[in-house]
Amino acid sequence: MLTNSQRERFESWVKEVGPRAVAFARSLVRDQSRADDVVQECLFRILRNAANYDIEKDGVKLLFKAISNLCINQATRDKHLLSLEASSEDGQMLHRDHAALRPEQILQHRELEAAIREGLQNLPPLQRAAVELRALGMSKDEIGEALGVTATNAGVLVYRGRQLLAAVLDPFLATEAE
Amino acid sequence: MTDTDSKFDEPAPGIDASIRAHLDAEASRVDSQVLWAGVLARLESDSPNRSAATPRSPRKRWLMAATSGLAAAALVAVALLVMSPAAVATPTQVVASARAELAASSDLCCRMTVDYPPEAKDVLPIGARHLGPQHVWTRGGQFVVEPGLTEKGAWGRDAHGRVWAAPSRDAAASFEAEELPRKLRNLVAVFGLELRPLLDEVLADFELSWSDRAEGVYRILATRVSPKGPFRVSAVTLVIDKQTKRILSLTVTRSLPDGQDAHLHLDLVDEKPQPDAIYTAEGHINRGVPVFDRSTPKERLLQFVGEILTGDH
Repeated sequence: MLTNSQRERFESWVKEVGPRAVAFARSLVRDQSRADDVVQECLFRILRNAANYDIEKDGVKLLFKAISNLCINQATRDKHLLSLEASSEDGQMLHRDHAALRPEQILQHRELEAAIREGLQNLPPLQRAAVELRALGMSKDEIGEALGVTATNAGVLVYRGRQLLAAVLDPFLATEAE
Repeated sequence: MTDTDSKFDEPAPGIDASIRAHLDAEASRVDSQVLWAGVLARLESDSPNRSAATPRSPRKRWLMAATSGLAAAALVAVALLVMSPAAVATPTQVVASARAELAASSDLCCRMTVDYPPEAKDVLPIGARHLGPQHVWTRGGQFVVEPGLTEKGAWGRDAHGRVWAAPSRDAAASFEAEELPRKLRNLVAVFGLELRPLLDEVLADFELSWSDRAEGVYRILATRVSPKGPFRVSAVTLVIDKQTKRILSLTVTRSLPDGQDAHLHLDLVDEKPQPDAIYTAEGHINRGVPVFDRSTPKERLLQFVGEILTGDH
């Protein structure tokens, strides 16, 4: 039985890291509900053993490592890259201040979002996971640990993933910079 | 050789920032309260202080359920799923809720049908090969099946792990777990089903997905992730009431040693306290009638083993 303080601590942590973990899992696994199940399973396993480590310090790394293990194994077994539920996402804006944008900028952002989605979708699972973990602020060592590769290989995965994404995203990013 | 280290270390704010924004947008669509409710329900049901599978009076059972975090967590999960229009239950959340629901239960009765392939005759007792629907009461690892082997009497497993058979009220035989004949041991491995540990295993080691849609119920298919093995449960199909989150039925697929599958279909039909004796041989024979065990091996062998295992009279 959880104590009140445990419950509060766990709840705070889950709500802080959970949504981004779900977003990461959904990008790796074809089935959204399966991705959500994976994250819930990983959160449960980590919190069940919370006495063994510092959740606030190490929990995020453990969580993304566990998600990567489960999701990338599934993606490999399925032998299909994910197919995001694009129909529900069409037109979904990135986090922007809508009021500050002109209509043509809004359209550009929608196109950028679609390009990001497609670009990530076309990356092999490990590269996709690596560039996303990098974008979330993880170091080479942390990415390597999460994906079960060396830090050097993690760097290679990020580099190659970015190269492929750059080919798709550069026109949009160049426009934004103007 | 490409100097990937320096390229990794150089920030790529445009691409990194765009990916980060993309993930944040996806994260904003996640209902963190529903996510937490599902995790909490599993943590609470995993608590070592959950209800033991021993008989309690209805009053005590309700008291434990009312004060137990298990029931509270299940109620929270159910309430949030109902109240939040944007929240859609995942298979894992539904199974976790069903597991929490079971935690307050004691004795369960199922109507069971078993489907064996013809090849199973080499691994299962002949007395179990042509069984129609049966009723099974379970309490943790204990169970009693009626009608029993050769469709007479009853058979089961008691609180000490002893497997017994009582084809009539005039005599019975029992076997300690370590001395079970091979085919009877296989039969117990097929029939033996502890629902709560099964759901724990499903939540930990199975891929869960929606099976098909039906009004008023969830249908969930669970497929084992880890390798199959003899008598391991390889798949479970669950039908769960949407309102109450109670399991209505389940179909369990077990792998047999020869690679074939056995399918157990169980419909949950009752749930109420039962006398301890129904899970023992003594509960199904007349007073004073002997239960032949390892101390009377000859009588046990002559009178029961042949009939049960080979069909010889």
